[in-house]
Amino acid sequence: MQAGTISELSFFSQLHPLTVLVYFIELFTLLLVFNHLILTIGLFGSVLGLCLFYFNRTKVRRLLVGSLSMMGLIVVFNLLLNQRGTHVLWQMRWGSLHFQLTESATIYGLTMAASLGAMILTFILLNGVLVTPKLTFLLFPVVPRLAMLLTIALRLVDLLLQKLQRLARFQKTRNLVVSEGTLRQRVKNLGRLFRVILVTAVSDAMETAVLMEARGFGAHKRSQYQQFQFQVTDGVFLGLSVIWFGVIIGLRWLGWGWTGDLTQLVWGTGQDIALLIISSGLVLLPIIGEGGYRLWAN
Amino acid sequence: MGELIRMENFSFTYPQQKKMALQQVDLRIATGDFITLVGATGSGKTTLLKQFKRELVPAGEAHGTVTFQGEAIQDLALTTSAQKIGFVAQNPLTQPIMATVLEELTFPLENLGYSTTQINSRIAELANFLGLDQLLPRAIKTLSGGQIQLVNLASVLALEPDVILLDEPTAQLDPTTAQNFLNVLRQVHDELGITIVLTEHRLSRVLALANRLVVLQSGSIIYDGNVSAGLEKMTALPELADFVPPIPQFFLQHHLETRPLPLTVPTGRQLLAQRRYRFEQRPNLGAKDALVARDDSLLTVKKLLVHFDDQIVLRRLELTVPRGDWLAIIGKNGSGKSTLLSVLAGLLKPEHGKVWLAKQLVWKMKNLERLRTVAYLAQNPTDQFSGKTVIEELRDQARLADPPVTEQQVTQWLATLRLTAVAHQNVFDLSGGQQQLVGLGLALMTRPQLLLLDEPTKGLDPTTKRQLGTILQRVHAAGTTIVMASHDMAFCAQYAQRCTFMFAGQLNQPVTSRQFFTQNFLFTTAINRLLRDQVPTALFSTDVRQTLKGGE
Repeated sequence: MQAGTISELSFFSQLHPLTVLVYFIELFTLLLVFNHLILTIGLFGSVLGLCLFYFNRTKVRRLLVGSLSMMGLIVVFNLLLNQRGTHVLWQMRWGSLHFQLTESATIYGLTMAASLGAMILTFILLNGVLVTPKLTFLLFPVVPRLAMLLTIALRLVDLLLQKLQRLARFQKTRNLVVSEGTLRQRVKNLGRLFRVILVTAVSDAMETAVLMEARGFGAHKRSQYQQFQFQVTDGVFLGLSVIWFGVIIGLRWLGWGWTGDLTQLVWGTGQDIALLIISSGLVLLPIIGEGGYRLWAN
Repeated sequence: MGELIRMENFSFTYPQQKKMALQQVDLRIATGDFITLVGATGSGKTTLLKQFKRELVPAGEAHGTVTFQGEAIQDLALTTSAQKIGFVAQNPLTQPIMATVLEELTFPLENLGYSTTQINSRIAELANFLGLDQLLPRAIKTLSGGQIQLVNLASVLALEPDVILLDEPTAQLDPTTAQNFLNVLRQVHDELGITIVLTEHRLSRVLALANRLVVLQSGSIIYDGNVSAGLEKMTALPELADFVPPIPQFFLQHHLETRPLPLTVPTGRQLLAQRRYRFEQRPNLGAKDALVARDDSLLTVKKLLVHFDDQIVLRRLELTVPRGDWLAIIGKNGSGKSTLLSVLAGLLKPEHGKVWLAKQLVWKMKNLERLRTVAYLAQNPTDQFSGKTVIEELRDQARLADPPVTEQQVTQWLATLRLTAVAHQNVFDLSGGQQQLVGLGLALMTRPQLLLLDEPTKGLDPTTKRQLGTILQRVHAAGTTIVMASHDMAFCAQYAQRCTFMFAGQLNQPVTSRQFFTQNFLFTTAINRLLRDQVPTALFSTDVRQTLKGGE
């Protein structure tokens, strides 16, 4: 799932890749360390707000529809499989089967769904901010081969998707249709389509590889063109985000936002609201940065 | 001028082949040369070109020597080969590996370990020289074929090579884009002094840039010299006569004694005026342009609207195609021709509007029923292949016909398409021309009433093009209605009954081909542009005869 890349003119886009990387590590950690419903829903809302701020709204709406269906599945599976809990909301007996819907299972299902939804949106945001040149810049000093491999792989995946789209359309002229017939026929046709893609992709990739070699790939130790300078704004952003993150982790250390015994989960506490306000501040830090950047303009 | 590349007594045979692809070739390329390599498909042009760069040398048995600045090509260091000898391939999409134009241009420089400062200055200079500065941040996938080919050339130029080898670089481009690309190539040659060696089928534009013409036939060089004399030699050879561009061909066919031969319309017009050559229309011209009956429509399109993202591609488009028609849709790349054909073939459902095939809505037909009625040849026929041998592909499609096409008929089709010799080869191993013929075979195998062709002559050499035209004429005479989208003015003028122009997502009212091309100013044949003042209805050399000899 992708929503494009964020505008080059934005403050967030102009941050040093390392600053961006640290910020996203903090964000992902934040989404993993809490299991209180209000907190996770609040974080989901904050990340969604960030996506709406940076991406095209139509694309975000499409992504949201995809994410919500996955979140719905998480809730349903939790309710079906998690039979523990203190407060039974509804129960049913059918022969030897006994199903009970508990309050804690409901809360936990919703928490998991919100957490997963926020993760998906954060990943999409990461894709839009940490674009290939920045990612390569980060990886190049540590693992240069992996950096190049990643760049090539991303390009080839893109080409493969374009090819898949074209083949799905034109192979209909060979009666290879994945949207008609019984389920078995559709699965069979999908297999045939993938076989065709594989054959053509290998043929194209061989030619591309030769042309890469013809332009000196592998002939010499590669250099790195893209250079990013660490600016004062990076220092300020990084410092603020690390302190903010430290405070949140400190509170979590004290037991805020986490319940070890899942059967004791509750809908929300006063501590959760306070923690949510602090955490949302960290999530929305780039938007605060945008404000500052615009105020700073001549 | 110093010698750059020397090939001496060179022969080459591909693995498991008895026939030599190159036979005792001797060729010397001097610094500053602009050489055009010409030859029919399979004559060895690409094989010859690939011998000049070590990374591209195909597997096979070679005898003789190839040297670059006195050093054997195979002994060149990889860095030297990458830096000094550039290569641009036929298909623009196979070369780019990075996501954006800037990254693609920096790719070869990073490969050779250039510093950021060096890369910066090279790219800045190059992007401004080639007019690519506005494209630098753009993603490769958002560029047109012509823009990508220009990026490919720029990426090779970034290393400041001594020679650039180009394998049919404009074969996949429309005429206007091809002309732009060649203009840049001329600039690269004239202003930077870089040696150019390119293979090409469409010679009308490129020959004016070349100082040498090298003609290949069955793996041997049969001519190496100036362009004008080379064209005379080619005219005398049945296999290569079709390759001679229309303007010099006109002068040769009408025995106009002008040497060197003119290569462009302006020089041709100048010569006609200077020598006072006069022409008149041949009698019965236009007799074959009879219109088809209008009352029996096979295809009816009403208020078609298609958009991708926020861009409208087809705008309330209307069209009626009578049974037995042969309609050509002409327009620039990106004008929506391919999208229209996909909709007509039922492969793409439009947001609004209707497409009726006889009395059925085309996208409501079952796929099998539809492909028995409408056949479609894609711009890139490999998108329709399954990756089997030629005969297996045709057999698979033959089974879809109602009643199924017999094995004997499949064999007959192989012969008609001149594919018998390659019947057991994998379709991906064939030349572009042969792949196009396989694609046509697949389209015709289900005996369709309507045949839709998207750029059927793209990348074809003149001989294969003529072959394609003949097959289509036969199919059309048997009652198949044809709608084709094409940039190829001469092909459309020669074969289509009616033509129309696609512009801003709409089609103009179709008119007869002769009317269409004689009323056009830019989109017409080279002969029409040459003789417009004398015989405005002339489209081909054979449409006129000489009335006065020069000076009389």
